[in-house]
Amino acid sequence: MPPPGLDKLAHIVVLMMENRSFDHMLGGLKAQDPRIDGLTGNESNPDTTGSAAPVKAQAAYQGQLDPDPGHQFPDVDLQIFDGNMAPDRVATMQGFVRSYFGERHDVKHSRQIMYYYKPEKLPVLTTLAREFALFNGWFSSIPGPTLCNRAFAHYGSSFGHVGMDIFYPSPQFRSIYHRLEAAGRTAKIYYFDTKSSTMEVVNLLQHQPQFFGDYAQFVADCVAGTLPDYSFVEPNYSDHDGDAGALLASDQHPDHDVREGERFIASVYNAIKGNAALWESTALLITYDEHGGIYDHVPPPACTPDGFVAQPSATKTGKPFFFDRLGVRVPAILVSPWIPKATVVPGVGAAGGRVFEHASIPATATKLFIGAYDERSVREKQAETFLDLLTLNQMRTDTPDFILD
Amino acid sequence: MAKVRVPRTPRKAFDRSRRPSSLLLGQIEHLEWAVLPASQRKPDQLPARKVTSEAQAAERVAQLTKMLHESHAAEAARAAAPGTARAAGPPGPVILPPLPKAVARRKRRPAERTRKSTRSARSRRSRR
Repeated sequence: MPPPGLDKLAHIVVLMMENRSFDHMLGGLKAQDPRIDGLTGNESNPDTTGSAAPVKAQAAYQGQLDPDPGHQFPDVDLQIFDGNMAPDRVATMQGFVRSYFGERHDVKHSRQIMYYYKPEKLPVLTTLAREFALFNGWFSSIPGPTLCNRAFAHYGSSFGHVGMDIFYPSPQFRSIYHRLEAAGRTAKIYYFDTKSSTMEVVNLLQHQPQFFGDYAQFVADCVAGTLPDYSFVEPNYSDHDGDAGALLASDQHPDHDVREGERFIASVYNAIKGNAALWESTALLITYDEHGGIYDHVPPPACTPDGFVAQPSATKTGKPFFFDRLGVRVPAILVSPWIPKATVVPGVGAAGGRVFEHASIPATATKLFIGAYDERSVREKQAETFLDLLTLNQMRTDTPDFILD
Repeated sequence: MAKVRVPRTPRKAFDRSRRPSSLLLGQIEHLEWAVLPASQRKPDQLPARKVTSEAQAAERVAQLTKMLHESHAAEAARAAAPGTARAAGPPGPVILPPLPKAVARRKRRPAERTRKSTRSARSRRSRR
């Protein structure tokens, strides 16, 4: 007999933000709870003069990460391996400052890539992390940029891609939306509005617009209790004018103001919590597609090769990539009133440690809504799923409320 | 239960004239690719790279997203009435609309003026 929270679970909602690392957003929480694999304050990277650039709790909401830190495949390779190209190289996480120096050739500025937020500066994200389940070991799927990482969240694979190229998925692995539809279930991608649109699944928008709605529709579906089984929510990717005036980007992609992303996360949470029936039957996962070139101290672990190979012409490192290592760690929080307060899911190297990545998303949705399903990537088949975290026998009534000014 | 106040983001954070990230330019390229039939796809001729501000990028994204929805609706209508589709013949070439008007850049604050990127235009384009 499953625990009651899992028994009642009828909806999974995924909110995927942009380009921030675990330590940058949540590393400061270690001082409050040593179980959280954040920062001790002693971590550093060498800058290009050889001096140590330490981590500092001086991250600002906007203005420090312009130009955008590099996060293409060769940039991330440098960040993880510090330029070591030897066959037996070890991931040291010592190349972030050197990598960012390449953007502006300004030593002082390059050291800001080590900055992280004081927890009180991110009241929404840190409250959710302390109130629900925080993953110490959730990694982006590829040491590379947005699109290939987001592909893992939709397909459990990037089909051999490590960059931002236009690609069409091979039919062998269907998207989670196709799978659910074929199984008689419902699924939707909610983009913010038409001017923000969808970021990663243009081919789905082209051929299956029935899978899409906008954020106003998401809120309306929450109120009406008509949310599909599986929902994927996209934030606003640009500053633009809407019908009611100025709309700020809420994706938290550098150099957008991080506070607007906080408000968006709170808005998604409030929309679900505002409907009592939905709240008790929904699990909300908040995560980030990749680290955006920003420092994290945990070396990405190796993973099972997927059968795909990215050639040196694609990796631009002079070496092929066999999809045998995950990307840099990102924040991930699972929200449900059936999760014990202050759950910390141990990560790499810890007793009982578990490693999650974006392929865990379709793996979990498939497990819950379809069951046995073979037509998917090796990576997805072996990915950890996360609904076992809904362990409480009684639903919590002490969960936080966010009041948006 | 805790009540957490989430303050409004300061108005000064809004900058519709901000240079679009390579992520946004990449999104436009993907959308332009998707609205064109295979025979018309010539990546080097796509105008995404001429987009100079976030607001302009947003307007372009909206144009292309609407085109995708309209094209799918037209396809669905043709499928629903196959005889009519035969009489009408194959669909004609897709013409991308002109880029929306660019937005003038916001005057930078003195501190911002001192920042200078040394990245080449090429590396800016490659960043997503």
